[in-house]
Amino acid sequence: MDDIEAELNAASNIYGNGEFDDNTWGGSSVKSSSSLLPPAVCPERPKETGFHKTLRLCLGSVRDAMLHHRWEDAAKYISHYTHALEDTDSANQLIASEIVWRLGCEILHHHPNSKPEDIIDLYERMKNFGVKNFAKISLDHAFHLLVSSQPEEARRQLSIAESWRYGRQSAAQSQDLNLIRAYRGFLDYITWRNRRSTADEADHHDDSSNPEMHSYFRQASVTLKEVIRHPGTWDPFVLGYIDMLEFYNDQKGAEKVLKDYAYDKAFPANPNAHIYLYEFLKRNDAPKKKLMKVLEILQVLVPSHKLALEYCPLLVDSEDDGNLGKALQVIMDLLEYTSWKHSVNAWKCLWVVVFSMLQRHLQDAVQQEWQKRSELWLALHFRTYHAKKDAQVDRDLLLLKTRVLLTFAGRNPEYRKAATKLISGNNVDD
Amino acid sequence: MDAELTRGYSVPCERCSAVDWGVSDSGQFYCRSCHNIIERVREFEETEVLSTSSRVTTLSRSSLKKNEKVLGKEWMVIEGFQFILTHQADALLSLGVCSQFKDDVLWNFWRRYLQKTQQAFTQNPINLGRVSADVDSDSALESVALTDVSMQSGPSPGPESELDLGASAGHSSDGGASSVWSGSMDTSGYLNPRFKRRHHLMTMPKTLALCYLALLWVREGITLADLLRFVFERHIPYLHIHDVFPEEITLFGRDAHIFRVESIPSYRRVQEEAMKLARVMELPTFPPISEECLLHPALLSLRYLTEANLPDELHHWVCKVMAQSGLAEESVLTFDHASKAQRNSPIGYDLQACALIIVSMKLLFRLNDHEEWIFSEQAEDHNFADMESPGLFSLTWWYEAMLRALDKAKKREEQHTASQIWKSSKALVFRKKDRTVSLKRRRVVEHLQNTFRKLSGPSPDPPRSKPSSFIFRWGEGEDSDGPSFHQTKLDHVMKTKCDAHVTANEKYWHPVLRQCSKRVCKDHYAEVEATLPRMYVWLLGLFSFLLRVKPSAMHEEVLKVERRFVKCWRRNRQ
Repeated sequence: MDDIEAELNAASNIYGNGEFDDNTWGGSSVKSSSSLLPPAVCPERPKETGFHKTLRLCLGSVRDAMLHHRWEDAAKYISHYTHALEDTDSANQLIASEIVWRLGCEILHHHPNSKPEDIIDLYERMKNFGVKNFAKISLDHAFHLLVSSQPEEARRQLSIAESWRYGRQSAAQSQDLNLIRAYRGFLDYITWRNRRSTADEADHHDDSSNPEMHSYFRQASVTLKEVIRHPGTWDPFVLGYIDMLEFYNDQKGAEKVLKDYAYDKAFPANPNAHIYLYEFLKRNDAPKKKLMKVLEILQVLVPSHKLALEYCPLLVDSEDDGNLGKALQVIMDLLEYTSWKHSVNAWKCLWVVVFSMLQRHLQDAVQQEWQKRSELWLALHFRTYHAKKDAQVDRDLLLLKTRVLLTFAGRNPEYRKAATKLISGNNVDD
Repeated sequence: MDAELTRGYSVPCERCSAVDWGVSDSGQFYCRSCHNIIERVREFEETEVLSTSSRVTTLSRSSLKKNEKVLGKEWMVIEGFQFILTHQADALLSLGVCSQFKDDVLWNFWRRYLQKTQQAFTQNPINLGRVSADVDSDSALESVALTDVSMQSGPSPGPESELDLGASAGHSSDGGASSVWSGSMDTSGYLNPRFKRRHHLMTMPKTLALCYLALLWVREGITLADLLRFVFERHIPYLHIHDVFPEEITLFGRDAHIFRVESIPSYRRVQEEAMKLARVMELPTFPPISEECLLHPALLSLRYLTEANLPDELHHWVCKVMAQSGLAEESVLTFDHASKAQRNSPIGYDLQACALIIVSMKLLFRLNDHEEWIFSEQAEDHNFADMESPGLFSLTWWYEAMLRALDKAKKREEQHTASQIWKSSKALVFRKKDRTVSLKRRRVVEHLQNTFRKLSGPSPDPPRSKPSSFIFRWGEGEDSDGPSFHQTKLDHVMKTKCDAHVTANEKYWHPVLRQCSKRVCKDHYAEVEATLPRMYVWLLGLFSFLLRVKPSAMHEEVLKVERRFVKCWRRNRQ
């Protein structure tokens, strides 16, 4: 590595001093190379004991074996590596325990002869090995149980982990413990859902299942409410909570939760929050103004979202010139994204908007909008190549686009020529 | 106290026929000379005795308890080192060293060391870690007892007997005066850096240095590089000292710091320690290294030539270089701690032999990344013309064969290093409060190892290889590392020029030979390496792999040889 940099620096010196800033270029590449490697796999350090050298080589061998899927070799080397857990330096010990946990689980997961008890045993051992990794490993353990379809066991592990206290250490791991609580609540919600579906099937037969169901609801809702208050992205938890609240007909509560989730500045910007709010309002027949308000923010966040296609009709129906202009902007913004280029619905929407604007004698506004975007659109949508492609995709699309182009740009020979040729060609075939 | 409890019982023990009974904590009778436990239990005795003298009974039981807590025996750190040396000597004997090595040489060196550092065998032994004045006399008494006993017994049959006598020489089982948590009695003194410097106290690397000195005295063929390699391959006990110690001595607390090893000392370190020890011990002149000795470059280079698969004819040239640079004389070769030259740069016989080989190869083939390949082509042309005879030595073919074998050997060594076990099976506990944690950790590690070992499939590792001087095996056969070049000829390195036989290679290169002041510069190999021919660097790498040293050390040695060689050659020419 050093030789290459020295040579390249020397070369750049020959070709002119002003061209490259040698120091920063060489320096930054060195920095990036050293930051890419995780600490335990670094090249040899000058003063390294034989013990640490052994561990370093061992870890390299484990990594090699794992990358080549030689699971037996990997198991052999990681059994040697476990000695690192006895290192007298506590920082090294922490790193070692994390490595043993993560790599050990991977190896056991993939090894053909491993039994499920082995993995669970490994989790238990590493959890109780030191206190600093307890929450993380518990969470991982729960995920593993969920993946192997043992939700009851997962829930039990999560509630055990939740009630763990260890003074300063548990305070340091509060974020992980938060997650643990959230997942526990979510599993309660899942159980509640299962109970509900069985109750539904049984047609509300036995009331005895209901109290249990209610208790799950209470547990889940308390936890989820608490968790959702913290800033973060809690999409599935929010959905679960809303589901429960709707079942118990607490519309106001649900709306409040969703509004907080979407509008609270402390939370990271999350378009999904607005989508959930919109769908909830739609389900509960909210007035159009409300819907429009929500979609307005969503459109700012994600102009290419499919809900724009619902937003435009709302704006058109509102029969307001300003809104119509806005609708045109929205739909044209949408169509500037390549994923919508061949969508018949989007073009149809555009045609509807343009048509209603023309009906209301807003040609100037239309032309203004078109002037702003004409260069881009002609290149993006209205070349001969596009005509051929559109014909392949959908004939209606071709017709629609021609109509739109006619409105906007009058006679544009290129696209229309190609389009008419294709259409007539198709007609002949038919 | 025990006599009281067992006074009724005077049946001789089955195993050792002694009548020396004691009572253990759980009330069982045991024979104090052979630790044989019998059925007889103290319980019903107690009810008899209780009525008459219950106070006495309880007192003795508590002092018994204290004894047990102190783990049976008191011991000094120096005795621990004695154990280790004994075991190392035994291992070396099993490797083929003559028996005088242990009985005469090593034992005498050890005694001399103890005498010169005033830890034993003297009238005023130093006090290590004693606190109160009262106990001073105890220690003096005890050490004197040790010396008396040792001097009388001469080369001891085994250190165990000394230990017994030392412990019972009127020393109270008071747990020692040190308040430090350790098994031995003088750890705190041993770990004190001031004491360490002043009294040249023993450390683990020093045991190896002492063995090396003894080997030098006996002039055995095991060089320092070999010694370190045997330590690495676990043929000589160094790594898991815990396993070597007897049952009664357990390492914990600060003792563990002394006896724990986390790396094998480097070649240079052991050389320096050996030099220091020789000075401290004020050793007389060593037996001279004559031409018949295995450590003489003439014979040692033959060994390395065989190892490196080089033609035997090269030995002739090596001897010439050796003679030319004045390295064949006994005065230069013999270990002498008084000479300043040797103190500044101690002699490494193996390094020297390999350096001589490299210099002779440079003489013959020039090794400037150009000439040697031309020579190879000549040799190959000749060989293709005449396929039956062993042919001329072609560097290219040798290089290819060597490269393959070297890569395999390096991989094997890396695997061995990766699987090296540094922590012994009994957990070493350094502080009292860490005791439970350390034991728990040990249990967890063992459990995890079992789990993973079950999954690691059939063990493809060969069992621990037998110790051997050679790393490579050349010749025919299935597990050889490659074809043997030993029989090839070196005719093409000579030519006739004006009726004189001269080497075909007419020039010789060397890097800057001027010596920098040792205090300021450490070594310049890293800077110089990029300017050296690649073939030379690779050759350095080969020999440094064989000897398990760094290439910079090898390069330094080559420079040393070249300094002498060029100086003498210049003098001869004038």
